[in-house]
Amino acid sequence: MRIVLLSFAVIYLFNSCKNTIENISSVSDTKEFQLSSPLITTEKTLFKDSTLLVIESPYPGAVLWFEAIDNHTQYPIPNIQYESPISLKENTILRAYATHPEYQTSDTVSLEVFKIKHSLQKSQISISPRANPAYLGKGNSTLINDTKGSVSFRNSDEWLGFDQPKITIDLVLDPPLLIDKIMISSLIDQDAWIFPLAEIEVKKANKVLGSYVNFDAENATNAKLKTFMVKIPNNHYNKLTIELTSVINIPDWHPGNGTQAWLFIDQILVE
Amino acid sequence: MKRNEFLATAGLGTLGLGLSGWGTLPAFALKDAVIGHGSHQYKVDLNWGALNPNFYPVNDCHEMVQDKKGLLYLLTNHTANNVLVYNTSGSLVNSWGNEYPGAHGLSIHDENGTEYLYISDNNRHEVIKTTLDGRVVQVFPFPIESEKYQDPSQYIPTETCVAPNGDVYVTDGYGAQYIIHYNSKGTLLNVFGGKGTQKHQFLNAHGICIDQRSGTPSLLITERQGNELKRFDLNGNYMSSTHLPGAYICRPVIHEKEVYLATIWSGNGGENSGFISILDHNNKLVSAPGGITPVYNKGGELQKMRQGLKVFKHPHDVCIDKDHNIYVTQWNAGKTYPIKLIRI
Repeated sequence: MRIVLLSFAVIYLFNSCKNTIENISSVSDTKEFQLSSPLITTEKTLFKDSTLLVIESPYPGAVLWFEAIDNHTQYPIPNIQYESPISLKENTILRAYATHPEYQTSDTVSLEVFKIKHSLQKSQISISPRANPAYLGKGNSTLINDTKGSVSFRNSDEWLGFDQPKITIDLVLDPPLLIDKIMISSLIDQDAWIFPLAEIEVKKANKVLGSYVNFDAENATNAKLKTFMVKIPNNHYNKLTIELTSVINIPDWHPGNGTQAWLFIDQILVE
Repeated sequence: MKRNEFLATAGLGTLGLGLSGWGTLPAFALKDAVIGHGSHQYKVDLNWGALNPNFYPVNDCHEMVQDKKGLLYLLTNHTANNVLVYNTSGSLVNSWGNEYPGAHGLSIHDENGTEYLYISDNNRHEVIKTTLDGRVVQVFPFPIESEKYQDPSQYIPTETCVAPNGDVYVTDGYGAQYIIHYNSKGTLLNVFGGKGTQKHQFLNAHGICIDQRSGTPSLLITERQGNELKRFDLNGNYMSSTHLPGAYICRPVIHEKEVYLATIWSGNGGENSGFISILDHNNKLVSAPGGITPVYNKGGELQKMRQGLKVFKHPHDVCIDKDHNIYVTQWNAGKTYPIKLIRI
């Protein structure tokens, strides 16, 4: 018995020291691969009356499932099989994924749509510091043009990209608006070193009206669009300052650990 | 015994066992994955060319070419071994190169019976011509004589190709987006392209090749960020474009009648969304291994492409052998070795 064990040990040591591994070429089976996420499309992410969402399949024979979450729990069942375009009339997060009998289930993809309560297109906006020259969007007005970007940030002029720890946005609302919520729409794509917002502070004349701290900012997550909300006292406002803090040190689990993360934002919404 | 042989021997491969709910299969009722469309479909070998990373490490596996003997040359930006030489079975036969930290583009050219490699190094800001065993025979340095650059850092070459007359074309795909045209001795002959959105300009002129399928040589150049494959004559005059919406194509590789293109991102450009694009002689996308089924509308426009199955992360190049198998090298893919697609 000792001889047998010794032989196994010698073979193991020999194999572990070989400078190449045994080439075990073999074809992969379907279950080794995951379906890509379905595609959710809409003509209007920001809408006045209603918007129509379409979910497209990643693979022939895949079944599409979705849930739509809004303030009124429009669809009470968590997962509904998608069959035709979905009409939405309120702020909604639509989540969808795909299944197939032969492949692994896809990741869930989501899209958030917003009903425009107050357009900020006529407001004045200033931002400090400037966005990185590579991601200047359409200038400062990018954030108040009632148009959202997509996850395709590389070819888009709908995003402002910052590689700075703090960004200060000054808004002058004309006429003053009755507001109790400020929402910042952003992109998360950690493979591209774009992390979520870490903190938001909304001020009026240096007085903090409301804030939001994102305790998940440094956790790994899928690429997606995400909107962060800050509640403020319900009042008429004509001047507001929004201070954004990004992830200053990318965490250890990421290849860019220790460096400044990117922050991408595309729209400010108020309600 | 391979898994396929086991299934055949055991007679289980064709059993019509019912599914236990969507999304699950009995563990033994496995089926080979087949990707691609129409006449260009493939099985996937994820283990081809895998080596012990303690001895033969890779970072990004950027490009691969095949010589006349059938040996495959993989270029990586790991300076322990910038070039790994394989046979088609995936066994390592040679390795060399420690001086190419920005090893990015790899082309091969036969000069009167002797083959040479052209390495585009985007860290050294130059192109290096070597023998197949790594001896440097010529360097194409930062082209200051072009008067387009003030500093070597502005010139970041990504790819080369060599015309039938020996002229060398270099794409400055990560730099100022010019195409630099030399004669075989390295004398600058022409500069064209440049960064911009006009037809003759580029947003990421990433890859280039000579197309001799029509009998008259021309240049095919990928504009990766624009999802375009552009054709120029050998004097740098713009001729035509093929738009491939949603396909971030790296470099064109012509094999027989088709053009094969590693597609590093797809759809909206999200990470890990790559697939392979295969165009027929009319520049129509006929197969997209790892991608959704290509669809053309009634007006003949390709509908926006995206990934369908997560087979690839970031394909950066393809090499096609005489049996029409495809070897896929990937950027930013967890330091993995090439994937082989076996034509069926």
